[in-house]
Amino acid sequence: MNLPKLASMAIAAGVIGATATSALAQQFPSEPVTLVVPFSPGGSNDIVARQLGMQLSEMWGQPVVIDNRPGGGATIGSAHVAQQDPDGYTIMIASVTFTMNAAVRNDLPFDPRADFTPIALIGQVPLVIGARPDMEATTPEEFFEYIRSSDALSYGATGLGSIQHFAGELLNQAVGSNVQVVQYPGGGPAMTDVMGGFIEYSIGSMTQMLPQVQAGAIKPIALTSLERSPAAPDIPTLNESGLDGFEVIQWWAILGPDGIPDDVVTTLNGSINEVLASEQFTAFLAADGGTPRPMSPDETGAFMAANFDRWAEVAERAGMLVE
Amino acid sequence: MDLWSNIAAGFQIAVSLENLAYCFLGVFLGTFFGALPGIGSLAAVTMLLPLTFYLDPTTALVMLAGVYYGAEYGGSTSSILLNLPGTPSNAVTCLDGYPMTQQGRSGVALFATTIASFWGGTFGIILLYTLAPVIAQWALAFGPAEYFAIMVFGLVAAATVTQDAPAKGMAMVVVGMMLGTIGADLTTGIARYDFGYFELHDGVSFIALAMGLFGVSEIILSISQNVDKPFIQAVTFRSMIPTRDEVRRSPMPMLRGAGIGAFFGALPGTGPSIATFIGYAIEKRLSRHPEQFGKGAIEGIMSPESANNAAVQAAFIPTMTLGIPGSATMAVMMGALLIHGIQPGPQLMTQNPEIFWGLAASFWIGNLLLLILNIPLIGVWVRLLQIPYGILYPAVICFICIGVYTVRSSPFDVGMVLFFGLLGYVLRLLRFELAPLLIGFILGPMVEENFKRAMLIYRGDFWAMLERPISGTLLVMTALLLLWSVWVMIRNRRERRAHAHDIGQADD
Repeated sequence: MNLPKLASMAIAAGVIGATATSALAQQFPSEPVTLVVPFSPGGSNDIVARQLGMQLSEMWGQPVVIDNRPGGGATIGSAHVAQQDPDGYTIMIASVTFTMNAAVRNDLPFDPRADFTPIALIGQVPLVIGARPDMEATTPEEFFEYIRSSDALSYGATGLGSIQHFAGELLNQAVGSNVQVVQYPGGGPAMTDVMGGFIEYSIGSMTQMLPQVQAGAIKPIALTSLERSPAAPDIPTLNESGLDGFEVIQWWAILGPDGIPDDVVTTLNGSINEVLASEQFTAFLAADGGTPRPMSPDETGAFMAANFDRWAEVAERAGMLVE
Repeated sequence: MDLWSNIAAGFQIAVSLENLAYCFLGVFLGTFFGALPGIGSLAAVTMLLPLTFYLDPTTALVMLAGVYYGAEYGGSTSSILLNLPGTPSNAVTCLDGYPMTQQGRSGVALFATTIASFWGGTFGIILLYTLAPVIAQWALAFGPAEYFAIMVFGLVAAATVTQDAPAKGMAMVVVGMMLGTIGADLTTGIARYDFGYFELHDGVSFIALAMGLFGVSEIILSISQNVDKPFIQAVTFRSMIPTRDEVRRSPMPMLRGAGIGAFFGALPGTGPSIATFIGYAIEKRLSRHPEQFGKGAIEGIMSPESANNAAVQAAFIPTMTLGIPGSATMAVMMGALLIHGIQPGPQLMTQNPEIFWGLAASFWIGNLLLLILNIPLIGVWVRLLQIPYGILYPAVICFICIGVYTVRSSPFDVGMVLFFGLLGYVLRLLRFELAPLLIGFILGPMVEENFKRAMLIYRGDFWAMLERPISGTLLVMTALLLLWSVWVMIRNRRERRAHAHDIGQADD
């Protein structure tokens, strides 16, 4: 076999391959799509993924299978996805903790920046500072004054490098206070200890906090988003209370293994953004004080990169690295 | 009466044809999964959760809750008949339930646990009805120091679950606590003893440990000993009737069990397994015949089963009134409500009264259904024993693997259950008891975590814990219990020595 012949065969194979890919993209998805949730059923990632999956499967006429792969602080599910074929049929939900984990752990079995294709951002929801009900401080300014006043105070978070921990340390850095973190196995137990007055506050999800706020069992101090939330318009933000630019939000994104062809990414991104624009999905997020935040794949990538950098910096300043 | 009208409204919702049907389906599937060794309530609820996405929220919860308490009900069956706990919280029931089967009295044991379960469940429901908001408030008074004190008390009480060799029992408690330290530490994030396995990052799976130690090891033991089946008995209603002495000895353990169960059920983060162990330990302490425990004492099954089901029902109190799930199973259940856009919490009773009262009513109907379902089924269950072991055991191993896998979708845990099966087998050959290991595993990490939290909050001041009324009292009680046990031990030894001396057989 001579060289030109080999070359022409290779070109032909390439052309066929290329047409096959674009044909694939046009019909995408032609088989069920697996949406991996690296947590157990019932948590916020799972609930968001199920709602998104349900609406995507209605749109595509293809089932979207929710695959819960919990364990290792989301490393098991993420590592699994990183090793799958980059054909768009295996995707995963990742949250802000995906970028926070990268900042505190050096034992991840994958490269969180390089091993994934960012596909789309779903939405975001602010956290709320919930204080013990008998705290004297009511406004954010009084609250800052109070937590600065003593070194004997504690706040609750849900493990080293959790979003609550990052929010708490960022608050300490911004206010100049020295409140001690106490770790709990979950947002619920941390909240009960705030309600019982054992710790001063916990910075938790609105879903968990708002029912307690309405019942008067927890005093809301401020939100951690840049703007107020329609779900609780009376609660001020830290941003408007003297901590300019203070923002810690819970967000969810859809990622896939590294190397998904651009056209498949575009199709996936388009479908997801269509779901985000639907009234059904907006209402679903709004129930927990959240809002959709549609982005292009490139914007999603840039957004995540900015998060990786920011949390690495906060972790370093607060000494949050796992030894 | 407001309460009565609420109860009436609840029953109206619960007896609708749809809810009744799903309640029955739930308790039936629950009993079935519970009776299968290895598939516990968590696995059953997780498996059936997706089915309920398409139901009305009340109906969905009626069914899932039915699966949950149905599984806890059914779990005692295989504990008693096969010495294989159906769910981890039925492990204690093996201790005295299986000896009863060996004595040919499985009918009595199954009947007794059904009654105890029904009473425990009913007691939990009465509390849910009448005192839910009060109990929820009271549970808030328990902070890290208080939890630490209770858990230490539990550990000391657990040491008495041991039969004859206290040192071996304590050793097992310590092994359990050591296994409990595996996994990432909350405060430092450091993964302890994970040997590089990310699967161990969240700790050893409790289900894998319990099912391996009690289930798989029992199967290996039976195969290696080539046991025949001498225990088959014809089950007539007559054979279920306990002796007059047993009837007399049953009510108090059942009442105490329900109280202990309700206490631990209502306390978020504790739950049925702890309740059953402590119920058993307390009965053994109070009994005038502690030597009968482990040989088929009726108290040894009445108290834990009553505690188990009371805890299961009481666990709904923090979930429904505070929105704080007390256990992994309750977290899945709360997820079912969240998926329907309902946030459990202090507002649930006012904003969605139909869910709260409807669910509470369905619990009692479900418990009644279980009673009706279970008594005639006793005969059927006992016939399970007639299945040749060559068919039964491979099937059981299969169920155990499915049950363990479902909880965390982890093939690694399936390997773990087999490993713990071998470990359990070796320990049993060496005559170590496994129950203390399990209780050490549950309580150890809770003692450590709560101690760390308390020390952080009080900035290292241990006296602060003793000055708090609840934790102080509990810690002093624990110290007294410990002193008393030591005193009893010394006294017994002295008496034994004196006795041996009297009859001239002292060899030391």
